[in-house]
Parts: sequence; C-alpha cells; structure tokens
Amino acid sequence: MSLEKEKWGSRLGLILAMAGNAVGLGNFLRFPVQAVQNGGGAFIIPYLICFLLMGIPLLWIEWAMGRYGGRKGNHSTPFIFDSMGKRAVWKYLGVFGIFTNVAVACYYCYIESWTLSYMYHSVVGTFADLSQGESAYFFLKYIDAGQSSTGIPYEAVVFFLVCLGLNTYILSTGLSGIEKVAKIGVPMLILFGLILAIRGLTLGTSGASTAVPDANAWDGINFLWTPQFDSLSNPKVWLAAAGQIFFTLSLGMGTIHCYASYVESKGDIALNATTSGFTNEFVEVVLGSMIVIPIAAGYLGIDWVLDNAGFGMAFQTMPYLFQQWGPILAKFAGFFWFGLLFFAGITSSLAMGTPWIGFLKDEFKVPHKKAALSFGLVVLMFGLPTVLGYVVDYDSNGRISFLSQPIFDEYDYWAGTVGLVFFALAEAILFAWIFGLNKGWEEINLGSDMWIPSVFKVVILYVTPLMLLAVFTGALLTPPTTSVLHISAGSEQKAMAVGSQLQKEGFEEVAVKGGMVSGALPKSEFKARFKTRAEIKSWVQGQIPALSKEAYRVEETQDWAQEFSNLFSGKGWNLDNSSLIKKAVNASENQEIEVLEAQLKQSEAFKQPLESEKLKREIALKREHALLLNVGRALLLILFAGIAFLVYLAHVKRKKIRE
Amino acid sequence: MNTSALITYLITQTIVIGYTVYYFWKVLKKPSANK
Repeated sequence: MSLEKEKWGSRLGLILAMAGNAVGLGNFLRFPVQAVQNGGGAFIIPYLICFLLMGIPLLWIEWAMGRYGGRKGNHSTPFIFDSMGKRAVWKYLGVFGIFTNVAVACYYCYIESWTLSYMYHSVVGTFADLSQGESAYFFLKYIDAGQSSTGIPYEAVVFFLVCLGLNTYILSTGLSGIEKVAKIGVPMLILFGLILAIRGLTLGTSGASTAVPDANAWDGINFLWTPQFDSLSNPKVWLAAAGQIFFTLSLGMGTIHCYASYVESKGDIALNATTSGFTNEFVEVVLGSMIVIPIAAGYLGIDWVLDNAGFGMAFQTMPYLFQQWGPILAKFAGFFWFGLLFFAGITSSLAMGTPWIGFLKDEFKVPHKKAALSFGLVVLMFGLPTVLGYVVDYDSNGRISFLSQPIFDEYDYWAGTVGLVFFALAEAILFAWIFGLNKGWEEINLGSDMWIPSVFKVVILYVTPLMLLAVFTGALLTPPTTSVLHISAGSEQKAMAVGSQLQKEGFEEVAVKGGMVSGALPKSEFKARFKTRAEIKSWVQGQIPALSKEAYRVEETQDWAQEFSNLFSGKGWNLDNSSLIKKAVNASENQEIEVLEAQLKQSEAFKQPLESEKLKREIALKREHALLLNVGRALLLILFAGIAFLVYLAHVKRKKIRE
Repeated sequence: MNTSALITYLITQTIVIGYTVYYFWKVLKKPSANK
C-alpha cells in the first residue's frame, strides 16, 4: 500500500479537478448531437431526470467508494472493490477501472492532439480562404497521417506525441500539477465557451447568404429547446438521455474513485460530488448547447445541421464558419474553440492516468515519476495503432475517396462505451447489495456538508441499478430502428390524402389523427428513400404545397414491446446492426461485403471489367477495415489481460505479506 | 425563439445555473474542508 499520503491542496482544486475530469469534448460535441438526434426539446426532460436518478447517485457512490478505499490505502478500483466485496471476482471486475482509462486515453489523447494542432492552424491562418468542402477535406488529410500540411512529416503522429508527452509530464508532478491545470483549464474553458455561446445566441439571421438564404441561428436554438412531449414515450430517447448523463459525468471509469481516494478520510464528499456534477451540467447545458448547433444553423441552415450533426462538425465545419467572421476574429474564434476543447480534453485525460499510477504505487511501490512514465509508454504502445490504424483510398485525382479508423472506433466502442456501462452496473450492485446499503449510506453521509433526502436510499438500491441495467440491455439487444415521418397536414381530409400516399409508397403503420399523419419505414430504407432533409421537405411540399417550417419531423424509434411479443410467441428477437451482439460479430461489415460480392458476381457475369475492378477495390477496403476492427479488439484483450495479470501478482504479493 | 422553446430554455437554464451557483456558494463557505 502507498506510503505517501498524497492529498488535494484545496477543496476548490478538488472540485475543479473532478469537474475537469467530467467536462470533456462530449459536453460540446456529443450533447448537442444527441439532443438533435432525439427530438430536440424532448431530450432535455429525460436528460434531467436521468441526471437526478442515475447521475447524482452514481457520483455519490463512486466518491464514497473512492474515499473508503483511500482510507485503507487503495487508490485504484481492483483493491477498492476487493475491500468492499469479499469474493475474488470483485477484484477482477475492478480491473475495468484501470483498463478503461488506459484504453480510452489511447484515442482520447489523439483527439486532444487534433485540438492542439487545430489551435495552431487557426492562429497561423491555415483555414483562411478555404471553402466549406476544403475545410472538411483538411481534416481527412490530417487523419491520413502520411500527409502533412505544415511540412512536418507524420504531423498527426508528432502532435499526438507532443500531447502524450505533455500529459505524462503533468502526471509526473502529482496531484498538485493536476490541481494547477484544473484551476487554469476549467475557468479558461468556461470563459472561451461563454464568448462563443454569446456569439451563438446573438447570431440570428446575420449569417444568411445567397447560397443559404434561410439560415437562422434561432432555428437551431428552437429545435434544441422546443419540447416534443410525445417523444417522452419513446424508449430510445430515454436510453440516449441516460447514456449521455452517464458519459458526460465520466461515470464507470474509475477516475472518480481514484481522485476521491485522496480526499481526507472524514472530508465531505456529498456536497463536493454534487457541486462537480452541476459544474459539468452548467458547461454542457448552458454552454454546450449554444455553440455548435446555433452557429452551424446560422450559416448553413437547420436542415444541413439535422443531416450532418455529428462529431466531425467540430473539426470539419467550425473552422470554415469562423472564417465568416473576418480574418482576425476567425483566428480568435478558432483559438477559443479549439482551446476550450483542448482544456476540456486535457483535464479529462490527466484523470485517466491517475488510476494506473495509483495502482503501481500502491502495489509495487513504483516511484511516482516512473509510474507516470510507464503510463505514457503504455498509452504510446496501445495508442499508436489508433493513429496509424486507418484505412484510406484515393480517387484518380489523388484525393481521398474513403477513410475509416477501425482501431480508434473499436477502442471507443468496447472500452469507452460498453466497458463503462458494465463497470458502473457492477459497482452499483457491489455498493448497494454486497457492501450493503446501510453501510454505504453512512459512508456517503460521513462528514457531509449537505443533507441528502432519504428517498435516495431507495434510488441507490433499486432505481440506479435498474436504469444502468436498462442502458446495458439497450446496448446489448437494440431492436431495429424505425424512422417515423410525422406530418401536420392542417386538416383531417388532407391528412387522409397524405396517409394514402404514404401507404402507396410502402410506408408502414400509417396513422391519421386529426390533422396529423404519420408513417414508418425501417431506418435503412428511409435513408435510401430520403438522402437529405431537403428531399423530405420537397416530398412533403409535393403533398401539401403551403407547408410551414415546423410542419413535419422525423422521429427514430425502436419497438421493444414488439420484440418482447415476438420473443414470447417463439419468433425470436430482431437485432439492430448497432446492437452489441451484432457489433461483436461485425454484422454490418460482413453484410456490406456480402452485398458487394453479389454485385461483383453480377458485374463479372455481364462482363463489365471497369465496374468489377471498382467493386474488387471496395471489397478489399472493407476487408481491410474488418481486419483492423479485429486487431483493435485483440489489442484491447491483451491490455485487459495484462492489467488483470498485474492485479493477480499484486494479490499474491499481498497474500504473502499477510502470511 | 418560439414561446415553448423560450419557456423550456429559461426553466432549464434557471435550474442548472441556480443549483450550480447554490452548491458553489455552499462549498466556498467552507473552502478548506478537505485540507
């Protein structure tokens, strides 16, 4: 066990470090995209309910587990869990609390390095005079690590190394270094975020151009905040809201346990945890919602936002939008935007290093600096494949025509998504049902500076684990997604006419209620039928010429009730390609390859050599992609097995000492 | 901004900003609790 009694320097430093751990790129990129994809205003109600019933209780649980472990000299989850549950299995479930951090740090440091590089490019004016397409293409060139925009060979790798080196150096300075970075980073990102959010709020229609005459930032704001109460009955919205709360608070990682293990044995955790949780919500709900979506809608229109909402907007679209503010302001805006993402990123990635360092110090008496260096080396070893493990193809003009990052995606899915939920479910059960609710409740309230209503005992015992189970089951058994087109036709007569047209065009579950009509198609068919919002709009306008802007919307649903009914009537369970089970067998990739192979057979039968050549190339790319997915998975397994082995060695060492 | 969006926006922002400020105020009353 650790001989050094390292502690936080101040309460504010601790809260800012915890808030910095929670505030990440997802606050600015994932939250608005999730809100847009899940009904806009409808999303916020389930989101806040999940924050109250799952987010806050899990924060208390993780802080309490951490402080409890720290009191016994344990600063990482394998032996924190071991001290709370007597069976060996808990110790090995605790491995996730180190593994997830290392695996996530491998690709997170890479994303962080993009922000660092984009800060540089914003300031030197790389994006000036680039068109929207060229700005987006710049990002692809950057990911294609063999290319360079600065003359530095392997620029993406160099920035990754600089970023990892910076993280390793700060980690080597201990908690005081992390605290200093949090005290600078969190206020800076809030300041940068406020400046950009005010711009988002005041942009209005000033960004409209001849190319996009109806662009209006208010459309983006209205879409985010207009409540769609009927979406509240859609389980997909609830699962997305629970997932967002979970990821935004950095729950299920083991970082909170580690940070809390350095809290004084009787220091408050309840108020500290709640304050850091609300700080994260402030950054997400107040600032995160007011930057990307309103600014993009203000220049490119809400339809473009709904078609393109995704992580790529931050790097592919924002640099172009900032150029619309003139050359000087564009440099500042780019610096603020990528600066805030950098601070959001580094305060999180630093937290990811601490469980590994704590574990090595506790169990193997490794000096702090060496432990930090070993973290850097492990992340380098497992992180380089995320930087270099991409698949790329070029067209006849030498431009990138295909780019994917399979290893990066695998790390993100298995470690950064599935691993977290699984680990949190385990810890919620351990805390409430194995360690015991009464002992756990006492632990949360020990030294507390706030009163916690006792109804949260019931929440911790039943509601939080059940919500986590729902999120996990939701990912494991995701039913096929259906896109439902809702149209407000104005009158029942018009609605009936549109309904019969929908039926003619193959829509299912066509329903007319008053002046409203809706029809559903499987998501893939809907996407094939309408490639963009403009196509939906033009179809609807063909039916109802005098259509207002809000007269139609698309909702995505998953019919859980239908699948349960299928299951109980012996028809099995249909799975979406995004479900964990289908992901595990690469179902989506295999289907794509099968389709291409069938096309190739046909093309060869009809003797079309050019088409056959093109298809062969596509098949080769998809195969390479699938191969790298498996490489990513193998690397994760090696990493997990390696950490589990270290935990086993530590266990043997402890046993010997006890004897 | 339309009325229903404005109401949702104001309620949400008030809750989030209100609680963040309130909890920070409570923390700053006892700044050295973990020293």
